[in-house]
Amino acid sequence: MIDLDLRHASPDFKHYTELRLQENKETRLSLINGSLISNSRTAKSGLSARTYINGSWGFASSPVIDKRTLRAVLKEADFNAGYLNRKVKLGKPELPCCRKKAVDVPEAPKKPCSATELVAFMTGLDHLISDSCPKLSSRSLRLYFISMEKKLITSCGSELHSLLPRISLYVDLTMEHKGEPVSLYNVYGGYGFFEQHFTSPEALLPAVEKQYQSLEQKSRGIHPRAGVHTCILDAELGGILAHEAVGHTVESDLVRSGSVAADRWRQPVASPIVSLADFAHTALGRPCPVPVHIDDEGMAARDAMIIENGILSSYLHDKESAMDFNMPPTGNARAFEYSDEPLVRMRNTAILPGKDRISDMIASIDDGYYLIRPGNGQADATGEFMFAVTMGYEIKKGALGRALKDVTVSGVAFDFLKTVDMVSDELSWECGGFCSKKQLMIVGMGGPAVRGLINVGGR
Amino acid sequence: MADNRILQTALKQLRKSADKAQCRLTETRSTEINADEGVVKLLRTTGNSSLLLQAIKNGRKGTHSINKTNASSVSEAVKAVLSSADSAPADPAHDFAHRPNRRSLVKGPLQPDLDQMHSRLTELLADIRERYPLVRVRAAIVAHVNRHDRLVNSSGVDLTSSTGVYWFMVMFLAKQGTKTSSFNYSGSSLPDLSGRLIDTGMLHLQFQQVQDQLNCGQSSGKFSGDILLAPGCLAHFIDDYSGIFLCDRALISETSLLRDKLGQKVADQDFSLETSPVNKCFCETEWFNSDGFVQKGCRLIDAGVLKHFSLSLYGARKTGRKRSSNVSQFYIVKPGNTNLDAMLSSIKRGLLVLRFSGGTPSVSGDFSGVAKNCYYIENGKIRHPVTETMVAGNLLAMFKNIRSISRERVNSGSWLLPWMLFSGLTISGK
Repeated sequence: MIDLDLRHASPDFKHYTELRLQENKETRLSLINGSLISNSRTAKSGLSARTYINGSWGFASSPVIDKRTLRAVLKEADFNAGYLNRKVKLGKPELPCCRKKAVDVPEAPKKPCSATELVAFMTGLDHLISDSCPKLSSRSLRLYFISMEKKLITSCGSELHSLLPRISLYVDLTMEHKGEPVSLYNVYGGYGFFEQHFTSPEALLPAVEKQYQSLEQKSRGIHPRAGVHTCILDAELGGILAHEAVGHTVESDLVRSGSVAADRWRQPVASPIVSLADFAHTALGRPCPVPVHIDDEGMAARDAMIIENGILSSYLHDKESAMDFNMPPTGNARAFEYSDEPLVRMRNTAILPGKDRISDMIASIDDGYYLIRPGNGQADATGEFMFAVTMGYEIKKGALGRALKDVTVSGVAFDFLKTVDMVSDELSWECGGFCSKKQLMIVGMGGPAVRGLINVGGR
Repeated sequence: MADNRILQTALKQLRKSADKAQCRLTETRSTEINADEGVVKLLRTTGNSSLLLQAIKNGRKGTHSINKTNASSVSEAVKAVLSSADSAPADPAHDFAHRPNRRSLVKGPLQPDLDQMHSRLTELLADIRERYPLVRVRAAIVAHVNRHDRLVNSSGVDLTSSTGVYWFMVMFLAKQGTKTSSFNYSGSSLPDLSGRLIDTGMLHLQFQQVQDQLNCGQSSGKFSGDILLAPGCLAHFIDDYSGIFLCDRALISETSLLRDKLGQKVADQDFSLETSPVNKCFCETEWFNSDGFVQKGCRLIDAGVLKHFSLSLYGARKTGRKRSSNVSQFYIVKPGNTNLDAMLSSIKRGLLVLRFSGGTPSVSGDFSGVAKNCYYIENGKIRHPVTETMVAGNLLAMFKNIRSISRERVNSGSWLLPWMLFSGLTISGK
């Protein structure tokens, strides 16, 4: 990243101010049936300033990184906040301050893969899949690497230098069954660099072969019966539920707008065996997939225990909402690009593991479904949610049965969580989560498997 | 001009090693006033630039994008794109527009009127408070985007567009006591700010619907019924249809079930769909595309017959099909001859859907999802809003089973769509 000492501009701070220097780097490689259809790299960097005057915010940014532009951006942000302050006159008090310094820059591989090596890995994996998975009618591989490097200073005295790298390899396999195409995709990778996750195409092949076997089962699969059924949501679906259907409703900006969580503070919203958290950087003693030590307002990030033993116990805050709600800040203000202002965003959201074994959970169901892999998902301010399920099985008399074709499940989060009566004992994170809320954001989602009653779309 | 110097320098450097090269510099300046929870909170002014370099060398293509335009950054990017091309396998389908073409376009207001933006946003918030007192505005934005875009390539293409457009977005729900409605949202691009924002698109209906939704019923059981899709909702279904059956990825991977259906009937005869990013009815435009072609309108489906796929230059050469005269989501659907009221009256049992929350359809076109912000209709009458109601069907079957298309259409600034009534969908309540 082009470097610049942001402290050059400190003497010019007239109000509460955040100054950020950020660079996002992305690499995209995409193969369809062996053809490399995308081979691109992007680097986007710049400066931004945000200032606060009596409740009005001003923000300005520029892709030019030098001392002169730094001062110009700061001046423009001041002007913008002043313009609104004169128009709106909110008269709000000063924001809470936090003076915190952190460096969170993971070590990059000493010998990073070249562009040629990356392409060779992808084409090599494609050849292996083509040879090992003979019934495929189509295969699509997509490699996506993103790194976000940020330097931040605030008028409160906070300083941050962070780097968040993530590699995701999407493998989408298609086969035809009785003339009908059936697909199944999976994501491999996670926090870190390519070299830390992928050693050779051969090492990844067993996982893809397992995906292929699942696809074969799915191609002969059934449509589930529509209606409310006892289901096990596996870890990734539990994660998407925690993020989409609960996490968004407790973001303080949505709470303020009147989300369903606004009226449930300190009330039971889930079964007593359910606890759910938005972790800052470490969960149960292990690093999270999206570690945030200081957020983009310079606030120390701490875990938010959203649901504790079934009781709604925390919202997610930025500085202003914490002040407005008279609650402790949680450090959830995050911005995606240098030209984005921080918004209240999740970090690593998961239901906490329970005490049940997944085998016992399956054995406990006489007639239901085991739902494993999510597609996309959406939720509402009411907690009403919809998730696509791309892989699952029926459960008959305590044993797994036939695979399922694509299906959608829906429900209301707090209603579903009240029906949860078993929670598995393992926490796992998915590899490639993004959240969209005005801006994109890298997030972590995960959890154990949970058993409860859910509405299955079916036919 | 600075953009010409930067682009010509980059092109010249690329041409030293590449057989073909293309460079595009896009500079945007956005001015945005944001309201959160009904209060004007943030004024945001951002500048960005994107320099996209592409090179083809012995049939191998590389792409590199940066947002810096100083000489050293451009030189580094040139090296990176050539290295990227060297790493790629050769593919004869790679190409750029190769007919010399030097043209330019200027469209829309290039400078924002900040005071007018502020007053229109304030007026919108006041109008909502006065006319829809139960509605809470989660977020509202009025913005202006100035975009200067120039593309040059080694075959003599040199295209420039300078555009200015206003847009606004509002996201909202209704709240009464402890009752919360689903959220909904709406947005439009506008050539100017001459009118009240609340009168744009379908906002009145959407605000009324979230208020009504505070007192929901449920559609019980499962039945085969009709769904009447609002224009904004229809846009999402057309997006899915295009992505699964008509676009590059679907044709290159040969997963499209329409891959052999060109010239054949694939939809109801009343359905005609075109994409038209340069149509004068739109205040937004994508005048030229990333292949280096000035775009023209393209009729994808005409009276139910598949006329064109939506293929880029690469997609066309890769699949041996004809390149589309544009690749965009500027949808225009031909209006029908039925009034919206008559369409509603014709529904025996079904839903009026203003928002649909669905999973990405499977490659076979099967989809299911939740009908949000919707009303239950029985015997031609709106009975009550419903919640937790799922709709399942198949995209191919759905567009073959169109019952009627409205005379009325809504223009979002980048699509022009009617209301459409589909039959034979599986609707299931809780």
